[in-house]
Order: sequence, then structure tokens, then C-alpha cells
Amino acid sequence: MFAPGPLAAGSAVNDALTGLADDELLIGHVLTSVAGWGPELEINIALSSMGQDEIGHARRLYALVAGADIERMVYERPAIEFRASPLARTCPVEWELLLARQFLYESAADARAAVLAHSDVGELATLVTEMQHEERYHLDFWLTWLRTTAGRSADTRDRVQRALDQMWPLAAASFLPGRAAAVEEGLGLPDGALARARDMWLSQTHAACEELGLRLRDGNPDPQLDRLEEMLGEMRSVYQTAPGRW
Amino acid sequence: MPGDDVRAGIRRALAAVEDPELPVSIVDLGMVRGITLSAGAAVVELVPTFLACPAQWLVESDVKQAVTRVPAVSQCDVVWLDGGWSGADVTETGRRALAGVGLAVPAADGTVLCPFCGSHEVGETSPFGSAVCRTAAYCQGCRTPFEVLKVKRTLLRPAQVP
Repeated sequence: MFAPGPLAAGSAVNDALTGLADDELLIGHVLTSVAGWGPELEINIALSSMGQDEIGHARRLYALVAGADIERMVYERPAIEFRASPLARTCPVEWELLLARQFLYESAADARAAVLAHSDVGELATLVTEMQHEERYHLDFWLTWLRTTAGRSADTRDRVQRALDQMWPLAAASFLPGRAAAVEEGLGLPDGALARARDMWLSQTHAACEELGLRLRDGNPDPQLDRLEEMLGEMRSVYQTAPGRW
Repeated sequence: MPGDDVRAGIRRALAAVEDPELPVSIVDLGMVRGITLSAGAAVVELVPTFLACPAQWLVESDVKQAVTRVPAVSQCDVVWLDGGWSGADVTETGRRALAGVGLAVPAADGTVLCPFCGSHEVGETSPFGSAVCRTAAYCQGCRTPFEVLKVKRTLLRPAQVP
């Protein structure tokens, strides 16, 4: 379907890495789109810088799964072929939703990267390690602003709590790829390594929120929050004025 | 032309390629990781300072142009490696050139000195600077803002062995 990358198309590993790339692309798209929302001017620079990082990471991950066919993966692939996680398919439309989404996304990505960095697929291990170092700046940023916003007033804490109530059910369903055992086998990871990383992430994330007087409450994911097609439409609006000729 | 002379010519050509955003050569910035040569075809391995560096494609174009001007080189390909760059890769010449434009490079132990006055009284004002590879800082000694070439953030906990 795509020009062959180093990993077999259609395999569990290929699907999982495509999902990671799709996540980084969509997260980067939103961050660059919302640069301007920050409660301090410097924050807007941070948002665009982080967005640029994420899009750069997506590019590298797409190269692993699709070789040189990166632009097609982004601009021409049907939405149904995207493997993005439920959390990355959201398009947060207010600051607290963005905070909640980003904190949950970055903390999960960090926990997952700690496992993937031990893959025996050398290219992936190197890339994930580099990404994790870069994204550490992001996680620090989102945790700082989650703390700052939740601590500003009772009203802002309530707003953050409502945002977490929307985002947490999606995040809880986003950590593991669909075929975790096959992914572990394909990447040379011990059985159950991803599930153990998820457990650790769950306990650390609950603890971080409790410290701020916040709770991660179970609930049903809201399907209305899936904005993948809308985001792809935005992303591709210029490209589609002259498809294939950019 | 003997192969060693060609390689030396390629190294000289690369030393003349500057980073598009900084007045320092890509060699002094520590971006060149390998040169191979086979029957007039050169392959140059480069590492970006940050994965999303937007200048990579311009660097690649400049490298190809410079290397194919070396006599006996008919072709040049560039391979980008995924990471591995750190501030420790910047040469002394590179550090001086960067300091000249107000950009500090942290020492191996993370110490940052003001590029203008050399003071230790400096602090990070934002982890996000004017480019993905820079942080913003301020010197209390000469009361001047400056930027720092971003190094890899130390992980708060060691990577888990699964």
C-alpha cells in the first residue's frame, strides 16, 4: 500500500508505529494551531516550539514505517487508515482541555518510550530515546501549567477537573496498541512489558493528580470528541487545492 | 586523485558549510558523523541538533553542493541519523563562534556561562527559545538576555528496563 519502509506493512509493529506517528502529527497540528492561547506571551512560543517538535517526530516515525513516502502518509492517506489513539484524535478547544489532554498524552508517551527504547529494532530504540529526551521538556511544561492552572482558584481547579473528566476515559484507552503481545514480540520486548509500563503510568498519573486535588474518574469515552476528519481537512486544505503538485 | 586526498577535500568542503541559522560550520557544530567514498560517490552522515530542526533540508542541499565540487567526486548523498547529538560535540572553535552571537553551549557538566561577560550568575528564563534547539536565559552579571543551545533534558527517573 505504501512504499516499503524498514518494517513490514500491515504487521502489528507497523500499525503500532503508524499510530505513534499519527499521534505525534495530530498533537503537533493542534499545538501549532493554538499558539496564541497562552496566559503569558512566552507560552505561545513554547506551544509552537513543542508543535514543531511533534511534527518532526511524526516525520521520523513515518520514515520508519513508510520509507520515503512521508508526504503521502500525511496528505493523501484515507482517514480510515489512520491509527491515531483516541486521545490524539481530540481537538481541545479551551486551555484546560488542552492542559488535561497534553499532560495525559505526554506522561503516557514518556512511560511507553521507556519501554520502546529497549527494542531490538535499533533504529526505533535510537529514535525513541532521542524523542524522549526532547519531550521531557514538554512533560515538564504541561505538569507545571497543570499545577499552576489548578492552583490559581477554586474555579480554575473545577475547570481542570471537568477537562480531566472528558480526557481521562480516552487516555485510559490510548496507552496500549491493539495487539500489544504481537508488538512486544516484533520489537524484541519481554512479554507484558507494555502492560507493566501502563500500570506504572496509571499509578504515577493518579498520584500526580491527587497532589493537586484532582481525580482521574472513570467514565465512558465521548465519541463526539473524535475530530480526526476535521483536523485532516484543516491540515490538507491548501494541499488539496492542487493535489500532488506541491 | 588518491582516495585520501579526496577525503581530505571533502572534509575541507564540509568545514566550509555553515549552519543556515548560525555563523558556525556544521563540522564545528558536531553534526558530521561519517564520510564514505566509493568510486567517486560520497555519502555524508549527519546528525541534527534537534529532530525537528527545520534547517536540515538546507544543510543537506549545501552539503551536496559543496561536496560535489570536490575534484573526483561525482555524487554525494546525505544520510540523517536519528539523534545522538549533544552540546559536547561542539568544538572549541564552534563554542567561540556561537558565544560571539550570544549563544552559549553548556559544558559537559551542564554549566552555562554568560556568552557576553562570562558570569556564572545565569538562569533559564524559558525552556523554549527562538528555535527548537535553543532555550532562553538571562545573565544577572551583565543584565543581558541570551540563548543556550538546548541539550538533552536529563530524565527525571532512569529509563525502565522492562
